[in-house]
Amino acid sequence: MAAELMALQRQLDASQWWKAVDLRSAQWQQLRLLIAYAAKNVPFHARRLREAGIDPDGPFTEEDWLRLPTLTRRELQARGDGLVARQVPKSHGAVTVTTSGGSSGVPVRVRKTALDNLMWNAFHVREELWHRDDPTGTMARIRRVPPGVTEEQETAIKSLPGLRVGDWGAPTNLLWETGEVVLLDDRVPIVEQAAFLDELKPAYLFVFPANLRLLLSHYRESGRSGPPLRAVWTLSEAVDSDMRAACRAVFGCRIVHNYTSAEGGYMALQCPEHEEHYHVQSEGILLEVLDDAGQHCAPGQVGRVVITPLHNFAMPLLRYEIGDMAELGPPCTCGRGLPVLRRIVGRNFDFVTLPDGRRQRVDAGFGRIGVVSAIREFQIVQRSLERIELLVVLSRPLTEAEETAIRTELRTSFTDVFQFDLTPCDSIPRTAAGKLRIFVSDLTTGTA
Amino acid sequence: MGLVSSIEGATFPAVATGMAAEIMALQRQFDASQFWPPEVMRAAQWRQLRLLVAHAVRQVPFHARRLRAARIDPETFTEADWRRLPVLTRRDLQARGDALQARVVPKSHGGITTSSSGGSSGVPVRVRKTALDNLMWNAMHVRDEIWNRPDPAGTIVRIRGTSPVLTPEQQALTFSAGLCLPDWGPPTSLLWRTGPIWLLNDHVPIPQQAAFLQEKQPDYLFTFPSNLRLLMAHFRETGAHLPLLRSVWTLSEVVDDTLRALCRDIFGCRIVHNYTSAEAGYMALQCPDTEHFHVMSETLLLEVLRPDGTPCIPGEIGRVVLTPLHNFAMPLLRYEIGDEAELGGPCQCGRGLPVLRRIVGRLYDYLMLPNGRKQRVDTGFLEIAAMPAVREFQVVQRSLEHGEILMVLSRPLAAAEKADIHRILREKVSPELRFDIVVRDAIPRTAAGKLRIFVSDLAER
Repeated sequence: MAAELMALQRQLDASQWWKAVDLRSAQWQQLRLLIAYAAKNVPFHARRLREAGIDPDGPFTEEDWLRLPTLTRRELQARGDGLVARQVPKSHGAVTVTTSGGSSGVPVRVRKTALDNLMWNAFHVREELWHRDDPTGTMARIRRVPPGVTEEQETAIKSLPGLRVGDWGAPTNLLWETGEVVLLDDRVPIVEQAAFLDELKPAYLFVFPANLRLLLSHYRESGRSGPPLRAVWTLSEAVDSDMRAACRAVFGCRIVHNYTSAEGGYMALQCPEHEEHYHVQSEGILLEVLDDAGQHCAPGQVGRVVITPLHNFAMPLLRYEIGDMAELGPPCTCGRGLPVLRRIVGRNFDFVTLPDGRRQRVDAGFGRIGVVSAIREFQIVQRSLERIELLVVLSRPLTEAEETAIRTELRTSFTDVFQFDLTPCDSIPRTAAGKLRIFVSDLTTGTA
Repeated sequence: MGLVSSIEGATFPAVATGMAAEIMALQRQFDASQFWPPEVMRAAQWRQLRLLVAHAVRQVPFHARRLRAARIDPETFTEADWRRLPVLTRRDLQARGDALQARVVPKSHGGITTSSSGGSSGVPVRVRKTALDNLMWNAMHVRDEIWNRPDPAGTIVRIRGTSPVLTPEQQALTFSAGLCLPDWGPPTSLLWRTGPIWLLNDHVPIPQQAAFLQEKQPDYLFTFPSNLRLLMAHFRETGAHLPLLRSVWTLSEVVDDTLRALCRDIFGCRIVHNYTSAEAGYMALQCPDTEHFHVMSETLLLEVLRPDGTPCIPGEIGRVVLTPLHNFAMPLLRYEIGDEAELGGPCQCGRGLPVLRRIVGRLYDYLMLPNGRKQRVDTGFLEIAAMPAVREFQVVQRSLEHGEILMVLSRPLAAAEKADIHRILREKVSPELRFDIVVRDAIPRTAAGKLRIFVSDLAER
């Protein structure tokens, strides 16, 4: 596996610098192979391709491709088995099933092969290469208890000083002599998490953004810096520029974030030189950003993310609408030809329902609320057609000025038609996967 | 790029497995290490050398004794200490072969094989190597492709001896119509979708070789320098062309500036040469940007030494002494392979790998002067090859006062040409010997098919 990963990496070293048009043509070659395979082995795809006028064995254009209807999460959920290939090339290795997040309210099951796993690991290694010149030092991992640990280990993870593990695990430890990792459950109180970090003085911290926000608030409130870190690695949820600034202030380092999914693997990695650019991993995925008319967005536009993982022959996903919105960016100044997402805006099922019944996408630009120093964390909940509630965990009561600022922010984001209530609380529940959703609605399903 | 993928339906990126993946994983390290500053490379080499020396001390009593005698502590030795270790000559290796074998070889180094090295030196030696050495050989072979043939596609015509692993029918073809194989063979074909390769034996008469080349119109020609010289003489005489030829790849013998210039002139392309041996694998590759040779420091510690054993400085010619860094089956510590090379300065290409300006020739290419002194033969006399009538030649020392130049000619020499030849021999070989020009139909090759440009009846064999 290590040799395979590094052999792939050598190609990725080069292809990241290819001109967009060359990347596109290599992707297209791979796409044709996937489509030919899907047409032969998945009747559902064969029919849809035929209906869209795409000859799976012949040439097709970008325009033809745009005619192929997207596949929604609901369709994937409903038709799961109908998307499974009748057979899978032996060289793609064993087939496994992964389940993707209940956080969307629409859990889906995806089949993948050892080849998909290899690609996952290859992009993981690329992330190390892009962002961690030196994969040594101690890593603090503050997340849920990982699967597969013993009862004793679980107990250790749930209290200080955490559980010390030999190395960072695969694929990193296949290639480098890494440092240690120390695991702590993210349900341990923030004060204790901070004490854990102060004592451990790790090189890296690996954590959910919501938890990071709490840690940053804690240090800010106590008026001191955290231990100097080399970087904080985050996953899932959203990271905004305010959080990046706070991280630099408290830990003296940057945040490294990415965009992954069970269905599409590594979809985008943060640019090593431009922290608010995410580079699409075009060697593994065809990623489209579509406007309401189903046309490709121009840079600066926010649209629906539609993905086609290029190597999943066990369950080909052709134009799968994963349920996220993203803003397409301009070519990156770093020189890489990989497309740029300026930000991953949020899930497109984060809709607020207006009093007249119209639904309006929620732009997760609530950074301003998180900036208020008294706020440790928050969640916005639509309770009814008229009422939106802001749950806040506070370190001290809000000042009048702060409350005004928050109400202004809410009115700007949601228009004036709602009544806004601020409700202090002790904590905000997470999803099963440990994520904090910034917006939920009692009016729509899928408010996990 | 025509990369081979081991996975059906996955062409981008190509997924390599097994040996191909190992080679490319190594390549990724070489991509970086070739540009390391010399001191960084030196430190990495030294770490590997210490592991080798520690193994040799434990597993080869012969080395343990010599290292102890030289007061070398495997864990702490310095460069100065290292230079105290006596060199191991070909004769030592020939005589003590078995004593140099390790009692135990790490399992992960893979199966052990034995290879024999060239009778052309007069001192054939047998060397044991592991699958790891083979992997390193293949990795450097692939580096040669990457450096000097960025797009390994098209047709190769290979004119060399016939491989004994071919079937009798295939072998027969290499002496007549040529044998076509669908790809260039491993390791190149493990990684790229190459074109076909045509094999022809180099004993096929030159006019027939030339006709074959014109019919196949290859992208690449792969042959011995001496055979190339004959071919170029023929093309010069007939005025024929090989317009598709992108480069000529040569192996063994000596490639000098005259031959390179002739190749550019007659075939319109460059020569790609390298420096390899059975004992140490790929020792140096031609720089992609210049015509220097870069030492493969990732797998080999190569020293160029003055007669007193101190290291040469750039511009000096000295004895080549090698330590292959990964042969744990038969560690060769400071092995004097029998060649001389001129050390070069840092290369303008920016690579930190040491430079050999030229590999001068074998140590036994010595002229014995009337006063009994030995003098290295300067390859400058190869400029004789540039003369249009000359197909090939060999200089032979017959006695202390007398030598011959054996020549294969396309037409009789003019008086002025003869005078030129005598002048060159006087200036480049020695004014103290009298040379006769002897015209021959052919010049014999060594068992391995090499043409030695200088031989001496006086040299000890």
